[in-house]
Amino acid sequence: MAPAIPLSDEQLGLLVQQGDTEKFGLLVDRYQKKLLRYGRKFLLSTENIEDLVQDTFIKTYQNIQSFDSKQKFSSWIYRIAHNTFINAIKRKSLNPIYLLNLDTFIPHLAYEDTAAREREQKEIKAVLDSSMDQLSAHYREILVLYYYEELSYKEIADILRLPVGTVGIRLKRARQQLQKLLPKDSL
Amino acid sequence: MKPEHSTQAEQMKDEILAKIEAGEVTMKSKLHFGMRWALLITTILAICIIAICLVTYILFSLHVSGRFMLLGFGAKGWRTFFHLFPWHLFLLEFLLILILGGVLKHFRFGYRHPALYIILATIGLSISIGMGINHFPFHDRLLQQYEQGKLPAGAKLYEKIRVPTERPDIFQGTIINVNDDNFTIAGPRGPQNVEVPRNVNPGEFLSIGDKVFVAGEITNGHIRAYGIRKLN
Repeated sequence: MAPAIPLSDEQLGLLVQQGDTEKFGLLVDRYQKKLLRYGRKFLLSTENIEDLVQDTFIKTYQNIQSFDSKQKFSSWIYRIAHNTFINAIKRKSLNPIYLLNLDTFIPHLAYEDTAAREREQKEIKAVLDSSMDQLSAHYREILVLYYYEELSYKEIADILRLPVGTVGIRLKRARQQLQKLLPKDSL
Repeated sequence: MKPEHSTQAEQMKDEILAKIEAGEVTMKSKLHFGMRWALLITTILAICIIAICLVTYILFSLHVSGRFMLLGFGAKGWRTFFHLFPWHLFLLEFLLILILGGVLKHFRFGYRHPALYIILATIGLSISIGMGINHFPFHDRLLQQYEQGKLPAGAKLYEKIRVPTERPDIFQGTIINVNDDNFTIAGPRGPQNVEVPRNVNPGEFLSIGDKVFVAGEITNGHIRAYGIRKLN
């Protein structure tokens, strides 16, 4: 007998929309670890992260009927998590939230080099772990989404609601800021 | 024995599923999201309609007051045109476009494109549609109705649209006398003598009864014109 092909996130989302709440448990299994990691790295805290992630899942369930199964479920749930974390930052005023972002105003060219990401990933993750707290929130978040969550520029653009070119330029600047913080031969 | 983090993960999942089961957490209906989309689309349409009406009004007021003609009067005319431009309405239009840009961020095409493109495209589109609408006598009819007292008194937008501006270098009136190097107009400020530039004979292109738009400076009670256009 051929092994059963696991359902995709989008298929699970569709089944939950149709009332199969048990399938929501599978989505929680698939995303819990990822969202906890995203929250811990982005908010630089372990305190209340479980509550925020639980809150994210609850909002996901409440809003599941607005999910379009033709789109990627991962981008959609990360967007909900992003909003939940941003609200937590605003509540605690951990970091100033940027209201006007000039990077989204003007066009930028972006080239996504996945081979470079694979090459850099190990080193960047290592230095990020030690310097995360010295980076500003918007640089920290984009580095986490790209290097830890391994999302594409387009997925990040959908999560942060930015033009794809802005994702590229922000990542470049984040890497530059990281380089400034570290000894010259670290990166 | 299960590792601790695995137990914690199970615990979170169980808590969420228990809340769903107990009815503490419920799904919002499709109708709820449908209504939200409908509200969003209505807001976008309302902003678009107001923005386009404003553009058509700005273009119409520039046309009816003769201010567009200033652009044909050289550097001095351009300076005066920019001075007389209804910047307050332009700022209102820009504000509407910014709000529209913000609302469009709910859509993928709204955030995937740089804000500059969205703003320029919206301005371009509003001006094109506005110019298209102005080919039809939409504002002419409203102005006519206002002048006939058929529009409510609140329709102040049309109140001063035809009346010459307060600036002392813009004049409108009907010609009551034409000489070799000057002519006289009767306008809201009474009869005024207009001196034309040298080598120009007003009698060649103007006659008594013509309505004219004049740009010029007042010197010793006379208007020294640097631009004249017939209105009829």
